[in-house]
Amino acid sequence: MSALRLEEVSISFNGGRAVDRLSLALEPGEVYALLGPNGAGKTTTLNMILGFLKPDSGRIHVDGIDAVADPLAARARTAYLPETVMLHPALTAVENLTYFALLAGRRIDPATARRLLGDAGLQEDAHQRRASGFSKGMRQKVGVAIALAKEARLLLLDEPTSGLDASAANDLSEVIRAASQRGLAILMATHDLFRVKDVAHRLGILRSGCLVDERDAATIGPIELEQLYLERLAA
Amino acid sequence: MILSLVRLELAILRRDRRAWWSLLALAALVLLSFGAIASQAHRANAEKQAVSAAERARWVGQGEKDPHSAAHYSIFAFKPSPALAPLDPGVEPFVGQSVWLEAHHQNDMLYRPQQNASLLQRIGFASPSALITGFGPLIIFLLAFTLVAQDRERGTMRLALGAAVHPRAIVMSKAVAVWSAAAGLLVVPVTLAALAWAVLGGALGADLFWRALVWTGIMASYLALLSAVGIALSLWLGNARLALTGLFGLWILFALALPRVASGTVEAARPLPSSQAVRQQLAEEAPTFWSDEQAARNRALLLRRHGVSRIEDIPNPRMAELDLMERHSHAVFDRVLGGFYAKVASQDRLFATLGFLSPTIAAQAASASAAGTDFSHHRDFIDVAERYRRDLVNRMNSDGMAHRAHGAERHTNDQSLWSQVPTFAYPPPALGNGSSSALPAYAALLAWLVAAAILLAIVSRRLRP
Repeated sequence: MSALRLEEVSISFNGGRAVDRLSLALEPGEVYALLGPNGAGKTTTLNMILGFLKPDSGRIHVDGIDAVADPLAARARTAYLPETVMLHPALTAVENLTYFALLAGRRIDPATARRLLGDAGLQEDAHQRRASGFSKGMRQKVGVAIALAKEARLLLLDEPTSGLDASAANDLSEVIRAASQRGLAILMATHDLFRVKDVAHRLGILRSGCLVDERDAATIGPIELEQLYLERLAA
Repeated sequence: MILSLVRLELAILRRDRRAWWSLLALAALVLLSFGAIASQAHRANAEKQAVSAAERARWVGQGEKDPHSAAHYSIFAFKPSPALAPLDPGVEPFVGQSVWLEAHHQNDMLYRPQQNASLLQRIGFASPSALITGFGPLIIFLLAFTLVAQDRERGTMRLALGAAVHPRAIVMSKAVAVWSAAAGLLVVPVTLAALAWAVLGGALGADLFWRALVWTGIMASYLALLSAVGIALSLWLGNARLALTGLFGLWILFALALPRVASGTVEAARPLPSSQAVRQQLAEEAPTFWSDEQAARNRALLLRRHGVSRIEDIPNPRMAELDLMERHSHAVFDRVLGGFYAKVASQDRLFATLGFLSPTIAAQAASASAAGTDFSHHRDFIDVAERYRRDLVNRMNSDGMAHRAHGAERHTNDQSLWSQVPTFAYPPPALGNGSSSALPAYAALLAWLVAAAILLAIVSRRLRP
């Protein structure tokens, strides 16, 4: 069973098509990078998968569950990291993880929370520190730990590398690879071509809501990817 | 699960110094106001007990005299301060604390505590109830704003909604956190203080315990509905600035504007006659009773009652006439003053009904009723004191009528009769026996609670990042 399946999904805002008959599928452990410029429909697609937006037509299935008919059940199997992961600044990393895990219906003890934060790459000395001083990279690691705690089947990442320095972006790539190896299907919405080439198994290019190309990441080099991306957007 | 979430929401609140210190400051004020009123009531009760004992000694030791003169010599009755007045003084500061019980007159009560009130007491924010109902909404809305609007503004809400299996868990945990913080610091400590005070004063009985429990329930319900409204409004209004403006406006509406509008509406819809007009009405009844026609009817009644054909054959005709006059005055007092008190009760009922406009009005009306300090409880004291007065005067007149005395003759009695009059004691009415005018306030509070819960459920269903 696919971890995520979109079939002919469309949605319009103010008379314009934001997403147009989008179809794609992700298998467990697969990392799919949805590429496209701002306004291409990437975040809108994620919002429809999360049930925050209802598509005008088409079907969305998360782990076999109809996400349009039962968005809450689908969301229970989905973890989501927005572009800017904002934690509660007054809570520590462990408390933040405990809080969001509880919202996800998982009760975790402090030892488990520390282990998950470690798995997500957060340094041990940050576990009991309040999140008010955390960098974006640190906050994202807590976000990944939330996804791990939720034991989700699908992880949605919205512009995960935006604003990260090279070291933090590398760390994130490692975390994504590790999560993928655990069997988590990952859909990344991004315009960071070079970073996704390292971690994604498949790449899709979205233009004005339409999926204009889809490739196996292993079959294309970074230069060709950039050329393909520019060609598809210019077409 | 929800409890664990609430614990973390409380940690967020505690670590936000602005909201938490505001709550702590109000909680300290609530306890201080309780202490001030309790010590004032303790002093007043001690003085009342001392003067009551002196009054009793004066009554019993008044010497030999005509019993009707003894009824005029009479006695002061003192109203004990209700045990839960330190939680909500209600009308206590504005009504008299003692009454002169004498023949022929149902006197006004004297010595209103408000005459000696401090500035804070005069502006009406000096009791736990006034502070909780007046400033509780402001603090709760500040807590709700801290937990919701800032979350949304910061972006934490988006992550929470992405993580949540059901958005209801986010909304519920925030509402319960705000409510438990407010109720735990504003209501519970002052209720425990009231119970401890009652235990120390030897006043704790089942009725007092239940009253304290009901008062706690009223305040807890009030804070619960405000928490729900505060969270719902913060979620519903898109951004933090709009939420802050909306919540502040709602506080002004609920706690400041509508109670004053309600008070004005009650005055306009159910106006009360002035006390001067009531006294005038009472005074106008007397000449009617002594008109020629009525005097003839009175004499005929006395002859019939005593089974004689001539006034001279009545053992003590003067006392018989005084007794007849006294009993007539009872009917007049019941009609004139009873009508006046019924109008006051009607005002209270209308004010309580206007609790459907603002939960603050409902909480204020219900709180005073639970604390035993609303007008219906004061009326109960007036009635008990008046029954005591009538019994005392009737007892004196009966003794006179039982002994022959004609013309200038006077029957006298002494301490043996005076001491037969029981000492005045006032048992306050049990919970539920004295406050029917507050019932609409309880209904309004319940309606607000249900409406707030529905609002919260609707907002949580429509919750979007």
